[in-house]
Amino acid sequence: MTMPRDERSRDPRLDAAWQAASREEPPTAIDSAIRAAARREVESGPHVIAEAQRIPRSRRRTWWPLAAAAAVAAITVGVMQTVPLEPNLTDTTVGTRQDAPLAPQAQTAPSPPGPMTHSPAPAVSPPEPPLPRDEAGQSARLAREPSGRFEASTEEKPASARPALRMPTQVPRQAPPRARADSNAGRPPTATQDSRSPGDARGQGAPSVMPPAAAGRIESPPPLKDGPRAFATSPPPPVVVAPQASPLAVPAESPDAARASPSRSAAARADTQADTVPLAKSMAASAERTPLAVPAFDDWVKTIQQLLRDGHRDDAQREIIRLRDAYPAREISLPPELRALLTPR
Amino acid sequence: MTMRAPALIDGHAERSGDSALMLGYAAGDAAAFDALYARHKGGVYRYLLRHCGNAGTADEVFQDVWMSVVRTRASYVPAASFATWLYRIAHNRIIDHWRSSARAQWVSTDGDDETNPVHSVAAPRTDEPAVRAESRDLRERLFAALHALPPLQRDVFLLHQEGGLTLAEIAALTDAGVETVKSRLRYASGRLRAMLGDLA
Repeated sequence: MTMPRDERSRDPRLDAAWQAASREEPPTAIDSAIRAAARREVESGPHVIAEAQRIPRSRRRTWWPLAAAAAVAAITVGVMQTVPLEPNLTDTTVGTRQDAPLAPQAQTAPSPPGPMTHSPAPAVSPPEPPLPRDEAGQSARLAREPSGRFEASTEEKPASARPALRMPTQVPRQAPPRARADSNAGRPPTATQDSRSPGDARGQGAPSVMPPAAAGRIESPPPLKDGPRAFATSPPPPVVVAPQASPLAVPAESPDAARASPSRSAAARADTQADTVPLAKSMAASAERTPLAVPAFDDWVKTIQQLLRDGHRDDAQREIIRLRDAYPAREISLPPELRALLTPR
Repeated sequence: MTMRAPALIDGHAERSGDSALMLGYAAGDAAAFDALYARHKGGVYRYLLRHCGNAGTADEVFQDVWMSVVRTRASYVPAASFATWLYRIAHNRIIDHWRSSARAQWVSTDGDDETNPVHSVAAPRTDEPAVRAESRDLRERLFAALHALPPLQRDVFLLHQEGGLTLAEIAALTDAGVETVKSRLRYASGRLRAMLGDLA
């Protein structure tokens, strides 16, 4: 309990005696020193803002979120203007991106022999002829590209370029036609025809009964020029179809395996078809735009026979080579006069 | 007779004025410090001088107290009266001084026991018989009686008389109960009154 000081029994005599006795004051020098120090501290020291004059902390920082938002917006606009837009992104493009690292690996990594590869072909086939300078450069450029930026580009490309970039995606799904297309090194019409009319191709036995020796043929003349560019500079194509070629690749089926199990489960086939529908449509569309579409076997034979009859032997020979490459399994069914045009292997 | 600052004797309105002056000084008003200093310099100096019994030491501690006020002006919060804040600083400086000089005189001696060890502490020079014989005046006797007081009683008396603090403020400053402070003050005043009675 606080006792007021006046309640104390004050002794006026004591107070008066004390006030009379205790009268000392600090020395003047100390007074001056303390006042000077206090003044100096105020003038030269850090200015202390009075509480009433201080800006509220919340008001001081209200501009921070605005500044942060402006900075983020500026960075976003800058990035958007720097990075090219990627229109028409499809699932095939995504697949190409995922498989993009496959191309350089396919060029360098040898494939171990196994049931999933067409290993005999490189052994018997001559080395691939060098590509023209511009094509080789483009192939190298395509191989260097880490992603599917070329797919995203809106500029017109050769019709075969897109299937070439998509090839790695199709390795596990369409193994037999894929293997043949790879081994033929640049014959997109085959893959295109297979994807466009698989029944027809299967009926003619092109993909599934392809002999291993024919798989490695690469001596096609001009049509090779527009072949799969991703593999144009690569060593023999079996590298690509090898399961070890890329960790992204599902184990591919070899033609033998496809022959051994021609009837896959309906569910698996439906799944495969569902996965390949966008790609097949794209390839079919590109095949329609390209003049390299492979005609039917019989029509092609008739055309070649007509060329022979017209005296265009060189053209007929070139066409028969293309025919043989497109339908290697049906070489035996060629007419004798046409078979005679084929160069010995 | 020296006029004491009225704020130190009576009136809480002046103490609130002290707080305003201190806030003004913290805001950069040097004149506010001059006013505060003029109000409290005498009381603080005498408080220190009575404790030290030595003008040189009192001057040193006095400067230290006011420089502490200058340095800590930004952290001053007018929660209590400025006088309480100021004399707390002075009180702590005195304790530090005694500790540094190894003179343990802050012994609790609330009782009036003559066997108390505080009584064996050396008396100030004014208590020497020769000096006492020379000056025999009231002043010397009064101060001699003050120094004969136990330190805590002396402290309470000085805080009350020189600082103008109430019992509650002294209790808060010395971390003691109000009744304890009241008792100490009663003992100190009684002794001094007895001395004055002897003189009368």
